[in-house]
Amino acid sequence: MTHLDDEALSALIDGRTDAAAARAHVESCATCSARLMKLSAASAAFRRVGEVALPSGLAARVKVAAAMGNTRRPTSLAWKLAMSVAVFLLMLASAAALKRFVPGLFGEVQGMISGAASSVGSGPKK
Amino acid sequence: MNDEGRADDSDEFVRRYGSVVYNLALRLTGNAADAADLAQESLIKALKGLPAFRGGNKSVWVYRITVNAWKNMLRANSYRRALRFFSTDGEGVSSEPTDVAAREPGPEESASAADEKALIERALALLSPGERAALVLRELDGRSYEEISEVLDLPLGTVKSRLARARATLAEVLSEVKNDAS
Repeated sequence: MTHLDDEALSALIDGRTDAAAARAHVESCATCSARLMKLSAASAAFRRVGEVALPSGLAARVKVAAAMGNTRRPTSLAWKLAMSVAVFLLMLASAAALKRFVPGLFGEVQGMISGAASSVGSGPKK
Repeated sequence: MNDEGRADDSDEFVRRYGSVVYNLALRLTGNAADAADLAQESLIKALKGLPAFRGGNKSVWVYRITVNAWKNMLRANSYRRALRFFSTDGEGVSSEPTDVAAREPGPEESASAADEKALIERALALLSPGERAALVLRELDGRSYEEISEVLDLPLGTVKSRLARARATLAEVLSEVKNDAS
């Protein structure tokens, strides 16, 4: 008689629908029946003592982290637009203030840029 | 459990998934310290992603996050060779859960339960992370073969063979001790 392998017996433990033929065999075979009991006992032992308790503090840390994530300010489109306008106005005001209080600054910067551009354009002297 | 759609706040979510996620992490990594980090990271990621979750099997989604986080952890730690456990040939090196196996039983545990637990840990050390993960999902959370296949990204036939090998290994270790005693 050909006996069932562990895969077929394991599927039988899990009540898989494709295990109907295996069940019929086990009912008439003492060897397979004994093996099935052994595998079932192993499964039961794992369910009984295989689970390890969650470490203390882990659940609390997860909840705190999740709560912090949930209290973050939502960034809506209107909020982003308002921030962009504020930054633009701030830059404009800074430029106006510089022009008023350091009137020669723009001329100096323009001169530096022109000087640099002309030295790059003339290339190395031979 | 039948609370697929109810675990919407963090308390209930952790109560529902915390233990299985931790046990999955423990059996994948093989040590308690990495398992705690992995479980914490996975649960936070899942909780933050919950508003974007659109139907489907929530358990599978949560456990997949854990498995993917474990794979990222392996990559980050350069433990690339351990990824072979998720190849269909099932070959690889073992990741011994030494600190878990060596844990002293607490005062609440009876001597026989502690003995049985030590035997189970000894048997688990002989299995690959993929086999241990399949066992956790099947025995501790009652997941179907199809769900385990989806979580571990394995063909159905491989899930079936890994569960069978896991149970056979547990049975061998348990029966060896019985034979020695008699």
